[in-house]
Amino acid sequence: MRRLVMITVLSAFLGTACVPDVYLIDRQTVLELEASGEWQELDQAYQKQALNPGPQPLESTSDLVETRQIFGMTHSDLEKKPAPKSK
Amino acid sequence: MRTRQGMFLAWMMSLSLPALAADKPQKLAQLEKITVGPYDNFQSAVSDDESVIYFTRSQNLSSQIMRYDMKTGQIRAMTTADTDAKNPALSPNGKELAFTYYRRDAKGDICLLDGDEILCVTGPGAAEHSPFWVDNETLAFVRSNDAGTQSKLIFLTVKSKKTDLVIEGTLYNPSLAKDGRTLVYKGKGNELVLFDIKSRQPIRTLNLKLAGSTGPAQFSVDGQSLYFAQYMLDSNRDLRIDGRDAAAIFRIAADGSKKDPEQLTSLNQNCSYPFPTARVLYMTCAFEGALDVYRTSLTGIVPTEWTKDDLWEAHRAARSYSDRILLLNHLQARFQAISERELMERTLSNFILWGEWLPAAFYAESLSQAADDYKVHKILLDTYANWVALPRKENLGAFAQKLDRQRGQLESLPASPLQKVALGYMDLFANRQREARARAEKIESDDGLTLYWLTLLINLSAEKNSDQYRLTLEKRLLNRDLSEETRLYYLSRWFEQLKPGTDPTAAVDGLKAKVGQDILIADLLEHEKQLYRVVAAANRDATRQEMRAIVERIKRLKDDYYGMRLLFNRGMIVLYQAKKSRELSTIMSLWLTYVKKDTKEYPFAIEALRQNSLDLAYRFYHSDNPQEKPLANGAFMDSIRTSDDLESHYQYALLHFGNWGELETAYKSMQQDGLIRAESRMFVELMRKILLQPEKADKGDLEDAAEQLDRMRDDHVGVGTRYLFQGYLYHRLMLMTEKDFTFDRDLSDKAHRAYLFAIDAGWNNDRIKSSAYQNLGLLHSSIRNYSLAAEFYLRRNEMNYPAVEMKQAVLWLQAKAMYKSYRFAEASQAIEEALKTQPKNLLPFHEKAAFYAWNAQNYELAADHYTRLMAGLGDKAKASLWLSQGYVQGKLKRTAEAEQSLQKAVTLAKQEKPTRTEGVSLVYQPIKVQFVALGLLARLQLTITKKMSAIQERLAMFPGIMEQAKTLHFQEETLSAQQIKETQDLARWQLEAGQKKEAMGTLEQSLRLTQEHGTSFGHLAHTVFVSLKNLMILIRDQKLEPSATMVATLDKTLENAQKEFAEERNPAAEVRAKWTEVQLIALAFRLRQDPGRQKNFADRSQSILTQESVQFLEKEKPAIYAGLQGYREALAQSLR
Repeated sequence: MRRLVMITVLSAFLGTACVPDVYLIDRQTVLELEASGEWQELDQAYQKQALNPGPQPLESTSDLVETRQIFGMTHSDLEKKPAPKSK
Repeated sequence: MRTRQGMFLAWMMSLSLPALAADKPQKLAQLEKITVGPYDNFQSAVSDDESVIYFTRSQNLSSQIMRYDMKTGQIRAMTTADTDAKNPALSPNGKELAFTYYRRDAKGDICLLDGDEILCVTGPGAAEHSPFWVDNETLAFVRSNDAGTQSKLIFLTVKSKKTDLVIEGTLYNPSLAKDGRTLVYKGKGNELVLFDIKSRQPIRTLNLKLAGSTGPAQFSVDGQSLYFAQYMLDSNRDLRIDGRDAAAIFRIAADGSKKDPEQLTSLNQNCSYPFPTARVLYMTCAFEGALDVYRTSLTGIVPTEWTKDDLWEAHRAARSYSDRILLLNHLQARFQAISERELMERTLSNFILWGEWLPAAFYAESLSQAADDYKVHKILLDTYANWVALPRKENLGAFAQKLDRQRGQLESLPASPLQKVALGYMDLFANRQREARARAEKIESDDGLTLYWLTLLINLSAEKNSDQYRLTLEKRLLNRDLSEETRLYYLSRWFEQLKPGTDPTAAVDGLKAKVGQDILIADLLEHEKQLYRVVAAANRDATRQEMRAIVERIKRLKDDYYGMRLLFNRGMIVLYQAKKSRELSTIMSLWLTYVKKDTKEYPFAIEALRQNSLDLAYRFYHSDNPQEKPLANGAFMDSIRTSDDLESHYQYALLHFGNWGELETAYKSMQQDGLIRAESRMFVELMRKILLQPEKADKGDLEDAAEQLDRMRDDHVGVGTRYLFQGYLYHRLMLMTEKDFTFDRDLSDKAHRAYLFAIDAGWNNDRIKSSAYQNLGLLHSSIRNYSLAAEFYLRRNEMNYPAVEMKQAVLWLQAKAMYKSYRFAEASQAIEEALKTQPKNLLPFHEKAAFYAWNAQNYELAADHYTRLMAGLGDKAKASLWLSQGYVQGKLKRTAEAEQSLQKAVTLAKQEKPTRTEGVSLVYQPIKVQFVALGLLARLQLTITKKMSAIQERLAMFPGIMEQAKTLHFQEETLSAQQIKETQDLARWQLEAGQKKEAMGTLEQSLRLTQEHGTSFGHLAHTVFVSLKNLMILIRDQKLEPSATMVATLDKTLENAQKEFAEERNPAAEVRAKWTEVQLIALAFRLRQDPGRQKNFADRSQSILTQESVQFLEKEKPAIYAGLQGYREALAQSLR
């Protein structure tokens, strides 16, 4: 459906459809080239910037200190009887 | 300062960390991961030599059989994604693979892999599944009724196709021992039935006294043990425990000599499908996001060296109720350290404390003969489970009826505090919070579990009144009849009620006044106040003074296990929340100093320390205080010395690229002291080699580094960082080999796989996951797999960013991937989100925002962005941007603005030159912009003169455009059709303008073009039919007089169409209909000046409709035929 919609848009816009019959270029790329601005340098810079060899130095993550299980306290599992021997 | 901090911590560490290796493990073993997500991988079948694993992979709602070569790491699909397949079963000689397959039968068939072919040995009709091999020639499988309640176990000799019914009845998941004669299957309830296939007699039935439902079982290689999965939790809250819920692996003696099974994995690991080999146990687990194949020792994750005391100690240190359940099982099964009843009581408590009501109800039921309170528990747990599953918590229908029944049962039991509590819950479940609260306030009990239930009830019924809950917590923590563990549990809950960052003094003093002689509680309360004073301290001296007092308290409490644990927990949490990084590091160091290395607490302290060191390091790293920034070094080093964590190595090495000598000295020393592995040194050296000057690393360097990383061990802490780096190396190698639109598929697969391993290993680490998802987005964008790239970017965007610039970059790339995968609205959203972060250069973002918005048909938004963009660009705006703006304005019916923009596009395009952009074949062609802009101008609601002017200019361009159609990415046939249509449009407008003569000339031109079109693309083309129809209708309606040449051309074109139609073997219905319409209109056209036209048309058109080709339509496509009759009628009317 989406593809059909796009073809309609293309037809209305370009007066025809462009097809990748010689080069393997998708129609979205062609449309973007023809109808959009050129920000190749920015695009390449962003690609370079985004490629990470290691973990990102995030200051905060979804793993909150206060909810870490490691800092949790447990309730005894045998309250009525003497607590288990611990060494 | 940096040195002092680092040295202090280093000294602290060196006291307690002489070496990493210890004689006896102090923690539960980790499972070793074999397969990797993001898809679900399950049901492993392993070859005897463990070189190959077959498993089922489920992705995109389809399941396939996969083969994983353990030596090469290569994975390939054995079945195609278009048909579901599962349950792989490998023959004893490892040569044949059987599985359940769903191609011909949605209920399932048993099929074999025969080379590349799939050979099915059962036919459609019945559900056949669960294959296994009896020997290399005989296959066994289950045939079930549709409900799956009655089954037959059938043996089939593959070559002769001879079948043999072995068992009939209730049986699930059968498998055979290596002896080839002892079968095990799940029977009714939680029974495992052993059956001798030679004598066809049952051997024995093992009744498993475990909560939940028993799953697949397998014999150990020596046949002495049975490994099975027990589904025990109601994970999906559907009030049933079945194969879709969480399970643990158990083992039991096959000879029935021991009645209690031994638990091998923890329930929070959710493991099932055991497959024991001679050496290890393979299984499917799901605790890291997806189902995957793992392995562990045949004895499970509890170290066999652990004594009874070790188990009790591990039980005390356990942070999860799930681990406590596992350890209790071992205390009973291995040492009989507790009675069966105590085991059940403790297991019940743990399930209740965990909030797992259904398995708890099983143990309450088992204990219900011992005391009435267990009957109360059973009723309460059962009702609670139903209430939890209730979506809107409305006391209606079946739930209301159940509630009434349960209340009645409770009231019939002897009154007890627990019974009153349970009745309070019934009030709560019936949405009578006030009654529940009133009832709860009157209840007193000396039973710990009853008090737990009561506290929970008060919390749930308190609504917005948290005071009552806080006061209840105070009562509990002051109750000297409760154990210290439980009292400190309530104190920790009380601390949680304090608002982070606010002064707790008043609340703490209020409680302290009630504490009396309880020194431990008083000390812990004082500690909380002191922590706040550290947070609020105005100067260094004040901080030091408070910290000294904290150290003194720690010394005083050092022998109190639970006291120390809560004291450190609070210190870590409060100081972290207040960003008091230096004080936090002191607390961390103190903890490690006071925890003995040979205790079960030690691994928790190490892990907490590692996590907090990293958090701390990143805090320093991002600190606005320039004096604190360098402290990140020390914090990363602390983490390295504590745990040899690769993430810390990575960051520490990055910070030391400029001071490598210092790093080398430190690493040499740490390696000598046994604090880090040799491979950690290799890792940072590789990092430096590749990342110091990334652009200088050549193919050989990258390949060499990837190979060396491959040799690193998988059990290294922070292994996700290694996989991330390895993925990066393969990724860069792939980019190096990428040329135009080709790339090395093997390298992209390797990069993809390494990133997924990183995600799995760092499943709870946003720092690793954010990089891995980001890189996966980039990887799949570069190989033009935009849909997948978009998905990875979406996941990336769920996490934070290290800097706003990174967020802008990722959103830019995400929007692009969204656009290229036809997700225009989401592309538009992503770039809007980026714009909100105020990029330095707004123009590119406005341009993309406008472009994606118009693709998403949000023309208002697009127009708004174009306005800002054009204002920003001024004279620098190119023709293509004016064209886009004109298009959007046209869509919004802003005709005057659109005209202006499109005229500007035409003017500028004439001045611009073609420019090469991306790749080999993409060239920006201003001529196309001009051509398209003229087309759009002609469609605007302008005056006829303006429209004619635009279309004439455009028609004049056609020959040139057609010549370079391919370069301009136009299809020749479509261009030709467009030219014909527009020529006829021009003729119409000329007629409207009273230019009859010019119009005739234009129509003649359109006929010539139509004839050429027919010659090039066939006379039965839609364009030819439409053009001829339009032409004849126009001439007839406008009473034009065509020239003899024109009529001759028309006849010739019709004749050609007739000829081609006759040659067509079996024309499509649409072609038949169109050709019939053309024939009818041609007849009307020829008869237009005939006085007897009405009658003649009626006669001759009837013969057209009786043609064989049309009669075919009458039979096969009556709707089309009726349409043709209607068309004929309309033409007849028009001839009157």
